[in-house]
Amino acid sequence: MDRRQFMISSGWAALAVGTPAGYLLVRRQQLRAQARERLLTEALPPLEELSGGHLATMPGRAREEIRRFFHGKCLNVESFVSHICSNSFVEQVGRCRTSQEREDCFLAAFCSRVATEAEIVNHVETIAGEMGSELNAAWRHYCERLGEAWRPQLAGLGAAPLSSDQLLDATGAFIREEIRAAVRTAAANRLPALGETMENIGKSALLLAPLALFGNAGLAVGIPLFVANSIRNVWNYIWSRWQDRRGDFQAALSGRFAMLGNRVGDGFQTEIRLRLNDLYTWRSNAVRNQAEKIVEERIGMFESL
Amino acid sequence: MLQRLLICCCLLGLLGGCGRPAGPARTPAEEAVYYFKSHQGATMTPHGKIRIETVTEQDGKLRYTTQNGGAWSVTYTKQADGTYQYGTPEEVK
Repeated sequence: MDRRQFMISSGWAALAVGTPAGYLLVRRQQLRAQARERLLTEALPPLEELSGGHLATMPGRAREEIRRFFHGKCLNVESFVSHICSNSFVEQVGRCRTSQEREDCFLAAFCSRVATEAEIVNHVETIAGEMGSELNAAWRHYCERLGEAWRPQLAGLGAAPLSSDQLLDATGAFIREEIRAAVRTAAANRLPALGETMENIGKSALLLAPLALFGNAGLAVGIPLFVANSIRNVWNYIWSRWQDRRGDFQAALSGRFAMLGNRVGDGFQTEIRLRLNDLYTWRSNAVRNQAEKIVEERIGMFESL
Repeated sequence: MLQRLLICCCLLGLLGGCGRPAGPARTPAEEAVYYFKSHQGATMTPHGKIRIETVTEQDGKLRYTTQNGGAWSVTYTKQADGTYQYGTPEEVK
């Protein structure tokens, strides 16, 4: 047998053996794609609707909560102003050698008279906690509905129906891993405001807002970065008016804090919108992942025959 | 002559006032409203300036409206130094 004949006969043999296997592979892919499509048609539109509802209401609510919080702080500016205009505070600022020390001095006065850093963080956490609980409750409801919607599809694939708990566990593990990955990629000086636990997925996802850390002059403060950026403008303003502390200082400062409240509210609104978008992406990926697992488990070579 | 008469009238007025009982003392609620009105007129909030003429006290909370039309209710605590500390206001619907 010459080389040409050998190639032709080998080709035919490969085709004879390969065609049924190739056919089965292609057929399996087609069946899996169809099944996946049916599962996702049931799953994704309601998820999009759910997330759309959250995006339409939650960021705005978060903004108003922050503005309300700062409204209360504006009422306490009077006490802050009388403190920073007192002789003892003027002497204290006079002893500061650098602008950083002065900034820390003002920050300490602000925290003692208007709001502590813990209070701001707690407030952000409280808002995230309340909204996180709503997100979790809505997600549980969604999983219940998805379990029901997938029941006929799963029956068609010869699979048992999935309970809402099974769906919650499966998707929850996926989403927690996404949150961990986001924590790992956060820069070292912008640690996320996330506690040790991730039991509450909704809250954890919202608390991925970055924190700024101040640690000079024995002052260890952790406040959300968008607050720190906005507060810095207020310190600069106070310092620019320091030699001219007239009677309208309270009006001017409360005006600054009011603007700060609005700016922080806007920043928080943006952060919450970003976090909700991330959560939507993770949840839809978790659902896609679950659909993929189901079709891979249920549609093998034999099912393609 | 007119000057002396005026001085006498003033002295008589002062002496007459001294013998009368002092006006009723303000209740803590009235005191809180008075302090708020006299110290928060210049305050700006994220919801605009406080409409001082709308400040009242009800059930241990101060109620007022802001320039944006919102109505608010806030808790207050009198401090040892005579100043007041305020909580986070709640919007009155």
